[in-house]
Amino acid sequence: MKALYTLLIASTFIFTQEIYSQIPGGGSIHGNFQLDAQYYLTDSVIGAPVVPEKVLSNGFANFIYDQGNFSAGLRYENYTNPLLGFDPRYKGNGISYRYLNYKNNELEITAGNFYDQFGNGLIFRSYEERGLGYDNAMDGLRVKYNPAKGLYLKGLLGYQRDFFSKGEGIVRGADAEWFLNETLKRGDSMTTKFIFGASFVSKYQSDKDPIYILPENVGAGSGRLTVIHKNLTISGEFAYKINDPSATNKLIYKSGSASLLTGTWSKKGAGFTIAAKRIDNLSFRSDRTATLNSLIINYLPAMTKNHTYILAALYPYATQPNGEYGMQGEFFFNLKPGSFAGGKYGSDVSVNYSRVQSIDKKLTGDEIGYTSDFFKTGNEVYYEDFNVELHHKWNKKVQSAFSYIFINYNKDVIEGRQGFGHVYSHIGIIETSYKFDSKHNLRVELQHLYTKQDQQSWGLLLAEYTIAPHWFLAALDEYNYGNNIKENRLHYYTTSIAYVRGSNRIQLGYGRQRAGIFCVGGVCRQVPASNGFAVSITSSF
Amino acid sequence: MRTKKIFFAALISIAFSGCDKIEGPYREQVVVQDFCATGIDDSIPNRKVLVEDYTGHLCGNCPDAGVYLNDTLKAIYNHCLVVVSVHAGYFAGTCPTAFACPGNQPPGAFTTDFNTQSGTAWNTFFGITGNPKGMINRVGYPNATHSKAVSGWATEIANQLALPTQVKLSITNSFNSSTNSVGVSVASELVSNLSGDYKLQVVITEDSVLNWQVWYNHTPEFVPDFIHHHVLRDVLNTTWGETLITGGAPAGTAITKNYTYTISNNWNVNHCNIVAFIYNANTYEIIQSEQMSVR
Repeated sequence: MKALYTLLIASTFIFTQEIYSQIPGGGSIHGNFQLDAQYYLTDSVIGAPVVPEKVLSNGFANFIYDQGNFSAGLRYENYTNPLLGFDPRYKGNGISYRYLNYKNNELEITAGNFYDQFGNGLIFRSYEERGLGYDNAMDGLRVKYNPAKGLYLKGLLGYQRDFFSKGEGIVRGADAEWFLNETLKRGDSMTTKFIFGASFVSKYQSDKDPIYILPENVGAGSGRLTVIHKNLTISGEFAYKINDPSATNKLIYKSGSASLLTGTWSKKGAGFTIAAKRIDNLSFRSDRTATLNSLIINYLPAMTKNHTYILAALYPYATQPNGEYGMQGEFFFNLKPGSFAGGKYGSDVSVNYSRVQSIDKKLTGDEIGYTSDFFKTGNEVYYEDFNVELHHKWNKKVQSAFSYIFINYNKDVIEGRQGFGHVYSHIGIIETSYKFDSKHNLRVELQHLYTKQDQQSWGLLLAEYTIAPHWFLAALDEYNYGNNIKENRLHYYTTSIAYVRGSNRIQLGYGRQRAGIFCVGGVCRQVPASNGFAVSITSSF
Repeated sequence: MRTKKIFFAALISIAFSGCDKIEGPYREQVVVQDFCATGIDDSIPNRKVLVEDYTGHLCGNCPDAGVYLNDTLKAIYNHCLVVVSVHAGYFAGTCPTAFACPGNQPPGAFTTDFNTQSGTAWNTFFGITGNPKGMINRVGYPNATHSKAVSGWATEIANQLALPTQVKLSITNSFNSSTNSVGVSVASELVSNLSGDYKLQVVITEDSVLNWQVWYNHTPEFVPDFIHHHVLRDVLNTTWGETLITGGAPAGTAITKNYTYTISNNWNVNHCNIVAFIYNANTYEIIQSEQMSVR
């Protein structure tokens, strides 16, 4: 407990500091700070691993200096040791991100670390997702150049971040984007707009393998087009990669590809989005031996709804880079205020459906691995999600949201295991908030998940009380009441209190966290069960 | 205008920076490199490489890694490879309580606990995430590259075997059948000058243990009589070994350590081996390893 008290005292000290952002003589400095720490208690009932350190924490501080066309920044990170569920290879601390940047009207040069993306990211996306512990920042040089109106060029090279070191592979890439309407004299007034793009990325990693002849230079290219016509936007991208035997594809020499097509249309009160994709052996890493979330060069979007309600997020989808067919459609509309269905204040309705399944694969029995017919899907369903949401305002004080979600989750494929099969879950959620006055608000969520598989059914009750502008209180109980094993019918309860002042926020909490999978955009991490006190501090300046 | 030309030239050079299309053959001509069997020069024995295979009986992909290690890599490097299979972590739990239990496993399956206190401590310390993972001489710690997927093992083994030998290590065992104990003598002699601190770790492994294993690429998937190789059973000199050299030592320095260890009656002594390795106390990198059967 001593460590916890120290942590609380330290956090209070930090919280009361004034941070000055003006630099005498010009320029400004800004940034942010975050500390998440947890004091872990032993809880063998929920299978929580024993934490010898008792207290684990993830923290970082960003400092950015701007002056005219010049900027510089650094990020200090501290994992002593990483919170449970984060890759333990983050253990340690240090300056993980630093850069110098110069920019004028035509040219931008970055030396050091940077994040970037080509098109949809199918062959290159460097980004950070702190909640996942995902960070594949580049460390090298990047040049952006705008040689003519509407034409945007990028070139970059460097290494990728690998926790507190760098991957051994070198990544080189170039991207060109042409916004045709900006180039044409009267392009802005045209009702149809065109954006073309093309990218190429190559990685180098030496081959010292005594068994396989491995490609040291692996290239990938992509082309894309976006057409915008009034309320309709259609966008497509195709990417191709040459042979890239790796740990992910189990050392096969087949080329890889990805195709992405999306269409959106909207007008006042209604709209829809449809999307389809095909991924075929397109894991792309700067180190062919890397696994999990390490040293990934590209990004393959999940194309399933990222649910935010807790029980709806119990079975999230993780993109399968070795091959998948996916499609998603969403339709939303507004029931007008005053109408029979909309009531006095109107309602918003959205209907969403997504399905992901295997691609056709014919095994070749050699190092190529398999062949695949582009237009043929495989027979195995990986994920299916149908959901309907209705948001309704009853009066000036009360509003509600009702959701029904059906998820078909292929546990074997998504979690890389066998013998578990599919989990079919039906989830119902009612959320209601009551505004007492301009300062006091109560929000309650009642959630239920029904399934016969896995850990069977769950119920959840959440209550949040906000006293604006400073205080926030929450209590949550997640109850696995339907578990076939009586001893596993457990409550996972959490309480928290937060205080906000200006751009500073401190939150204290206590509770149990169930084991599960946390995903953002198809990238996931496993979270083990835990029990303990948590402190979270965020601040920006 | 000059800037544009330079920029376009740079982009084009990146675009053509290389694609190595392999049309076949896809495999190297494999040459058996069992230098350690006979020794090119008896006075300076070859460097051996320790492969720590982190595994678990509930890990369905681990048997493929084991087959690759024992059938492919061992076939090439044979005596130059010393293997310890460490059962630890998520997939090494016992059923029916472990979270990795499939749920539809046969009654009584996966109830044997292969975990060891030291193996679990290593698994935690080295941050092994997911199985199968291996460490090759623990190279790459703490820069996050020490925990390697199977596809990275062969390259690192080749790298390590190409390094010069720094220490000569030999094990002498004397088994006492009446007490079921083994007297172990580990002799080390520096071949070259060493700087820094070094530790000696001595462990006992058991080979060819027949027990349950999940194996995805196999029918049946739950294998009742899977042959578990090189199973880490215990350590003879604490989880992190004992200090051998402090602050460096000159070539020719010889140190012998002796141990007595009582073998569990549950183990087949004919399949038990003593494994010894010397590692840098600061980097954890192993510079020499050796293995000798108990009897």
